[in-house]
Amino acid sequence: MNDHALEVQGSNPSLQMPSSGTAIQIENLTVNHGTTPVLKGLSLQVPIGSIFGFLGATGAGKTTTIKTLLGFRSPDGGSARVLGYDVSCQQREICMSVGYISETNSLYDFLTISQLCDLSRDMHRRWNQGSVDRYFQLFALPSNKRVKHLSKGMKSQLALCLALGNDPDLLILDEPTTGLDPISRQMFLTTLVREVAAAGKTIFFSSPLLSEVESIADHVAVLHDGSIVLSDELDHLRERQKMVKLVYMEQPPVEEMTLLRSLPGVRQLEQRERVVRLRIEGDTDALVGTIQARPYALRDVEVVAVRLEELLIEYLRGDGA
Amino acid sequence: MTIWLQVDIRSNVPIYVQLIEQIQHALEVGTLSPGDALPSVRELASELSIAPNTIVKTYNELQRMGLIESRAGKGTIVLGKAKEMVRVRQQEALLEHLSTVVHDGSLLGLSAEALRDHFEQAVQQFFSERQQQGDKS
Amino acid sequence: MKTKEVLEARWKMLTFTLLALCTSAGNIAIYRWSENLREQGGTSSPMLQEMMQDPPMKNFTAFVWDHWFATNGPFILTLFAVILGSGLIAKEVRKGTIFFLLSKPVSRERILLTKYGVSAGLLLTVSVMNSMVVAISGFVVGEPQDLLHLLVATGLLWVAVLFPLALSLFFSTMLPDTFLPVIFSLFITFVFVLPIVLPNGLDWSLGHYWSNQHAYLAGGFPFKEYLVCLLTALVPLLAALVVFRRKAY
Repeated sequence: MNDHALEVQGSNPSLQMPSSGTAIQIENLTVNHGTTPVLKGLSLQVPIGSIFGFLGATGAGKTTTIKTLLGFRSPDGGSARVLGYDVSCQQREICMSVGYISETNSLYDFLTISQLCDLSRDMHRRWNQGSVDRYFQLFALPSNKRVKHLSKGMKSQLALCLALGNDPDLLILDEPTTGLDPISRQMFLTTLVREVAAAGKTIFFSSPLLSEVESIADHVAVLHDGSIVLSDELDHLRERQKMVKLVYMEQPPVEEMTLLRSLPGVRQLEQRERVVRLRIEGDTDALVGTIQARPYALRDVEVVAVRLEELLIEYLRGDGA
Repeated sequence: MTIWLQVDIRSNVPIYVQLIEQIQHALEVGTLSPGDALPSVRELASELSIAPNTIVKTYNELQRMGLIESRAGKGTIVLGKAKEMVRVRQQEALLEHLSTVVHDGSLLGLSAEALRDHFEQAVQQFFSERQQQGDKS
Repeated sequence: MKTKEVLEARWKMLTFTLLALCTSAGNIAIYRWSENLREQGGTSSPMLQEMMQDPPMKNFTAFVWDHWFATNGPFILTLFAVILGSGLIAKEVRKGTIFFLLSKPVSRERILLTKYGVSAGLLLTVSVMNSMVVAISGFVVGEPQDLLHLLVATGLLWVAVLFPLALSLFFSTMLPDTFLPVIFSLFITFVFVLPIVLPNGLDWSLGHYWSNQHAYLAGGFPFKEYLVCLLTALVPLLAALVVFRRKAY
């Protein structure tokens, strides 16, 4: 641990984890819907204090994963720990320290905001009304308004306020900005960073939108076909994924192309006469060095960036791994 | 000292690298000086709306580079030798650039002689101009 | 959570309170009217004369038992109970608010029992309100009811409908629909009451235990009836707890 990480954690003294620095630890999780397998050996680690984006196509099993973490359903195989607590038998402890917003964010329409707040407070032992009031003011949510009269954006804000009421160490949000207009979405995400992450809390959120994950997350995981095909820090991905454009003096033979494809770190190769485009992963410099040492003379070597979105789409489609 | 930092989340340059470059630039142009305090992780994350972990990474890297230091009670301070270190680093980068120039030049057909001549010419021109300006003032 | 449950049931509560009170008021009106007719002499139709010979009409106490505790009371309250119970879980699932509840550090058992308890409380309230109307009418017609008997009978009526409530709650946990639990609960209750049509079937009919004429008219505590009602209510309640505890949402 370094000084700066401690600085983040220090601002939230309740970050005393019973386990070793992961807010969520999933190992080989298997969940079936009846006879159909949905999650097939899913393994994931969410570091404490991170903003973790969980990507996956609709129906891939993001919600199922989240429901298993919260104890709404039990796993058919494998294990998972949230804040060190086992999801199969310590559900109550988990719910005490976690703030949650469901995919549909269904709240009781007939209650007013303050009545809903009272309900939440009733059901939680630990409740910080002062902080909830502060958030209500921040979002200008009127206490007497019935939930059914709130706009979607306000409902999301309300849900966030309530989710923070018990001073959770971890927020688990299932597609929290679905259906929000761009302004509300931006506000919501900004609030997440400013109010939540900056206080040292961990945020785990699922999203179908890459742009959302890109804008606030520092870690991302992609769910495809029941398991995680990619899980890494976003900056790491940005660093490690590059496109190299090689211009040869003369068109190299096919065997050279085969050899290049087999080099470690080369994920894709495209060739048009003297120009070869390589999608590479890992240590760009070392690989370029290896290529330059080859007998076929290079006219130009250009390292171009790969758009993160393209990369993630590749993984979402299953071309990755 | 307030410094304005910006990040482009769409860029493929890792965010922490963007921040490091901007802080180095700030040191270079003087908007950030040795002894100044950088904003706390929390403040900066809030201001830029990016994950605190990224700020942590940035500061750790800057600390590793010897440019800043975290002091108890005072926050994160820019070190005295920071400016100099930035300059040294930039010099190194430029000289590496020089190798590339030579390499590219040779590929384009310039001989070692030609390259040397051009370099001498440029050096002479620049330094004599500077001398002239120095004489005038 | 109790407040929210009460608020959620406010329309059902209002409807059935009115229904019950209207029924009571209607009954009392009939009694008064028949009294008037009796006083005026037998100048009315044969049908009415026959009605007036009917033993329950002879005095208010018997009338009340026959027209409320033995018939309308159980019927209206059973209907209220199954309608209350049907949505307890199924509506939360349908609307998606079940996830709100489950994400709180409250055990599933406690959630279920709180819902059941509040519904039972609402049933008791309606039962008591009606009994109060009966008590007041007793004074009005000049035949005040024995309050202890009234209390015991009110209690029995309430305990009796805890069974359809528990049935409805059970089906609510099993099914995602809020309408089917009503149907199934009513059907099963009906089946339990059915033996009454068989010869010597009275003792096997559940309905027999839902009120006790002797206790109301003459006194005493209908211990057996209370016990049967409580035990029958317990079975579907426990079943509901088991199902809800293990269900994947």
